Amino acid sequence: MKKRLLTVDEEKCIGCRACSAVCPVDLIRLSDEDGVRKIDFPGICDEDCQECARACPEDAIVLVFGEVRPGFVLSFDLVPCQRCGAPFVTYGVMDRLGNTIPKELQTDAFGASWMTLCPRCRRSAERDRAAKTLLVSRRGTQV
Amino acid sequence: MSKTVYADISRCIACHACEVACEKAHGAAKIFVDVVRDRASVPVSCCQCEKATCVMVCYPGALSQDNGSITFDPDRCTGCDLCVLACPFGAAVQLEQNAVRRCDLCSEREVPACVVTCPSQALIWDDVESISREIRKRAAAEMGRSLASGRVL
Repeated sequence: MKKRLLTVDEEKCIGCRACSAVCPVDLIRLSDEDGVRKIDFPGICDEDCQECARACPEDAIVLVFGEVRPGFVLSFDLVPCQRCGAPFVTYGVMDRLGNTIPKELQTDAFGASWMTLCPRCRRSAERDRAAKTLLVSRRGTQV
Repeated sequence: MSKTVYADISRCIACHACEVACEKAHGAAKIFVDVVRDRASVPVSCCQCEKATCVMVCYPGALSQDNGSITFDPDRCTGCDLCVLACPFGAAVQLEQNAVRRCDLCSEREVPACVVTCPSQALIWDDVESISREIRKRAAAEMGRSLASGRVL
């Protein structure tokens, strides 16, 4: 029997959250566990909808008619944060960011790369940097 | 020149009123006050970067930069998470329920809610030139006070 199939080009997919976030019927499930991101795709999708294909930054999703087949799961290793070690981004997304953001903006004013830190550690690094001079000037004061 | 929010951290008293005001205005806070070693507190929110990496990576065009300030169109957002991962300060944006929430400088108000609420005038709402003038003025006043009291900066 022929149905509308959801196909994903594994070579193109970078493992971002777009398709799972836009799917109006929650057919695409994403989970991050033990340093691995798993995206669970349905084999068929009967909805009159192209949201996932439209949202995909890499044009990896195509909806075609074909013989019914089971769903499938794509797995992506997550890159650990260089500071806290928590896995936070897929290598594919990291590459895309690296290719989109100009090289000179990939490091901070001191030449350190912020891209290898998770958002939480970036925030705490920024906070510590901002407070540095203030902490020095308040060292002699009473708390 | 467009206006932006600047945090003079030397005045921040860590009361978290800005977070509450933001949450009340938008349903969720987009400014965060972190206390560093019990001595300093730093409010972190979107810096409105001149070369905004979040805007560069936003392929559906939900984020755009116009005359300095960054605007966000939630209808175009795919929830891909790229802007969250592209923010050098890990502060501007957060992913929640498959959509990005971020500071829009309270586009519907004259002055952002966080700035109006700040009891210690640590948050300043003005154009970059005026902010820089105000900061220099405050630094000079502080130096004057230190010299008068004999306290070394």
